[in-house]
Amino acid sequence: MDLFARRGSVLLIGAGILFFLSPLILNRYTIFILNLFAIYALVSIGLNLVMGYTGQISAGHAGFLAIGAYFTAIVGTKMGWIPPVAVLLAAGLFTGIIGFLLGIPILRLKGFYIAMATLAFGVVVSEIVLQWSSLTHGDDGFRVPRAILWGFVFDSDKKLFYLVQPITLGMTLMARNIVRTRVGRAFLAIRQSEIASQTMGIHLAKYKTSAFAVSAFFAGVAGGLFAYVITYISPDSFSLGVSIDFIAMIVIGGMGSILGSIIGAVILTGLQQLLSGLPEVQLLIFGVLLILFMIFMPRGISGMISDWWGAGERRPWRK
Amino acid sequence: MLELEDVDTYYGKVQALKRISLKVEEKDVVTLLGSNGAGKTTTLRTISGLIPPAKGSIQFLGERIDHQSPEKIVRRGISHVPEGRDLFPDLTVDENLAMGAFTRKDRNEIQESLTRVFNSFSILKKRRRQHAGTLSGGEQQMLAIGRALMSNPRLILLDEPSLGLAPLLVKEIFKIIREINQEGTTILLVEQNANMALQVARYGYVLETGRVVLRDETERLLEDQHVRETYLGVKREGRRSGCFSR
Amino acid sequence: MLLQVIVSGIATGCIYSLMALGLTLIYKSTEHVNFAQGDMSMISGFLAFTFFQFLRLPFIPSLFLALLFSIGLGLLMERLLVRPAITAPHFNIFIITLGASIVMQSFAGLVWSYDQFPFPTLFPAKNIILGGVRLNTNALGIICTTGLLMLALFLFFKYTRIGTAMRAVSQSQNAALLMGINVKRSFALTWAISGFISGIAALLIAPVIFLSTRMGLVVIDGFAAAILGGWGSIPGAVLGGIALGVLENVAPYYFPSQIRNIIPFAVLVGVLVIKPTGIIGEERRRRV
Repeated sequence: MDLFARRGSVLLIGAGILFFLSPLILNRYTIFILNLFAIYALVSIGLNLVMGYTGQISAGHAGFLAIGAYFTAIVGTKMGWIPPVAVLLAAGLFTGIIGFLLGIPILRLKGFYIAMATLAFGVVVSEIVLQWSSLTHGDDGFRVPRAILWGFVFDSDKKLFYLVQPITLGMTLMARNIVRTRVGRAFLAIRQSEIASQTMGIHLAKYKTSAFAVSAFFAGVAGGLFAYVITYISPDSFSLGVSIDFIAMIVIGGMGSILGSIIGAVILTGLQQLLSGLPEVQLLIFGVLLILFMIFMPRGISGMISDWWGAGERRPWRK
Repeated sequence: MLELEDVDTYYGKVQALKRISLKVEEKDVVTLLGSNGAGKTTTLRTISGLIPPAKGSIQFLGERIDHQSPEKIVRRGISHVPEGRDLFPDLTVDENLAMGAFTRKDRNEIQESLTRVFNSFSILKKRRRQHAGTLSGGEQQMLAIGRALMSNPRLILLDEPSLGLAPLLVKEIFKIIREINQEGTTILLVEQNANMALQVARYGYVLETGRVVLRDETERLLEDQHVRETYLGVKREGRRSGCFSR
Repeated sequence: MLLQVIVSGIATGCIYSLMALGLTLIYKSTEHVNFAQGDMSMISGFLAFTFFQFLRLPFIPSLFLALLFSIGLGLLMERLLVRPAITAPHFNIFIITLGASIVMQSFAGLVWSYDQFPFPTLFPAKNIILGGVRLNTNALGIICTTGLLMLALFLFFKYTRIGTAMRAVSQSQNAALLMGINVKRSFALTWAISGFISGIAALLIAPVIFLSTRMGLVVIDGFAAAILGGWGSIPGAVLGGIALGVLENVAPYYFPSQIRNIIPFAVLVGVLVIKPTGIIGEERRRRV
């Protein structure tokens, strides 16, 4: 390992340790924000697998978030003895399976149709949640029971930090591994040209559907974490606007890049919190940012960074 | 009339034309020969303004046209019949021809051109109301040429008029090409069917991988050994080989 | 009774058709999807409202002025948002129009607030009896206006030189260039026409559902209608719109009334799963 890499990894480990110790000194609100960052980053990373890597548009990811959140809330209420990690895993798998089933009929269509179908999906989920009030408490909202692990109650943002961040970290690494393998390269090839990748023997449907299912899994777990952190969920938190937020995150952060997903999530969530007093202005700025980035910096911030670093050896995408 | 000097054209990073220089005199028929990928179509597309040249100059009637838009170039009197015809499939024959005359204003003159086109291509007259996409290959080629004539051009760029046509139709088309030239229109012809091209043209350029490798009067090109072997399918001994042409 | 429902269904459907038409026109000529079509409508509606409500201009001139602005809005969008990204993949333009939609909604919210405003109807509110059926003049007015607009557009595209040129551009940009047609101007004109259509749509919808920043969501019905009729097909857009409108109005009679909200989405998913090319179904093969 050369000097640079060793110094780099020491720095990284140091930063990591600092990060994990930070709740001891930060105030409650900041920790809450960090948790939100992580949760949205998780959704972003998942969405990026679908949009940034395989190039399909999903305009309904808030639907997956909702499924994960409500699953966690309902299971937590009815079967509170199940440890939270298991619940989250189950939420993720459940959502992932739904994503898979949704993917089968939808993903054989052209890109624009997929956007419309996923958009419809997101709204339908929202509507079902609203109408099926016997299960979801509909408009009234659902009070999410606290996560309890062997008697230890995650009843503060500080404690939740140690549930949210490790899971997020673990899943990010998982995503990184997926992307680095043959599978990841297949995803990228599909985005560049579906026809060309087919002629190379990449089984289109299989990869597209699995990308979709994995991203649904990510969103499902994130949804569960979201439920624990927000403690009170209602259909409003999963509207079409939220799905569009996710798209904005990966566009601004950079499609086809895990780092980009995280950057995008942090920026947009941060903006949201900063401007929480002025929701209309917040929305306006979002929209303007989206337009400007798409016109002038379609590869997002991570694209800009990677250009700047002249990263030649690993350029996971092209415009 | 038309002069290209040291033209370089790129498709992205790939250089398709390398220092192409050629001349077309007024009232002439000049042909560009070469195999697939030699750069013939690219040359025409550079002339008509669909692709800007990276280097070099293109002069038409004494003025430079190399960085002008296709619409302006059409108005100067150059008409391009693209490879594969590129008709408007859901427009009728009439409408396609009308689009050919888009740059012209005078109703009477346009009507005259229309009459002339229907004289040369009588079969099109019968199919006036038909959608261009439903015509046969030969009829489509005729329509494409007719459409180009509707702008009353001084110079016509023809890209592979024989493509996909049966030999009898090819003869017909080339007869028409000769007639058009006799009526005063200059023709720059790109063809893979070297045989027919060399018979109808007076001067020819042979392109290989983006460069002009031969330029001569077609009479002499027909006798050239390299041309005969590569493009006319004639073996060294003078016996014709199996394939028609390259 | 059923006939009355069907008529109001057709009226609603006309509005969806207008949305779908605006979308389809832009898609057919430029292959771009304009997610902001509904919000363009919304802005035009608010402009008209501003003219006669706040600036106290007379009603009809206000509407004309608003329509003028709607044309300008279309041109503006094409110039500012689409042209800079013209060489980018279509996905980018879709996202840009998504952003534009967000900007327009929040802009409208800031300027005019998120309240709902009543909007006067163009047609005298009467009920007339036609063939023994009680019909709403508003509904009839919508149907007639839409019909006239579509007729005008049809004549324009079929019989004028410019209209034919625009059709040519949508069939082959390259060949159009070679005819001497200014393709960029053709695109601008397409957006201008779509802008105008969205303006008319605003004047027809606003009296019915009240003017509000959420009015733009009707674009989703437009998408459902266009896909139902056959995405990329103009007769499909018209057909799909009317079918959707009728479906939406008739369904609550046989199913619980909440079904109304879900119909466009159910139709979307249904069509995409069963027959993605819709009723009229044009399948464009992509040249490789």
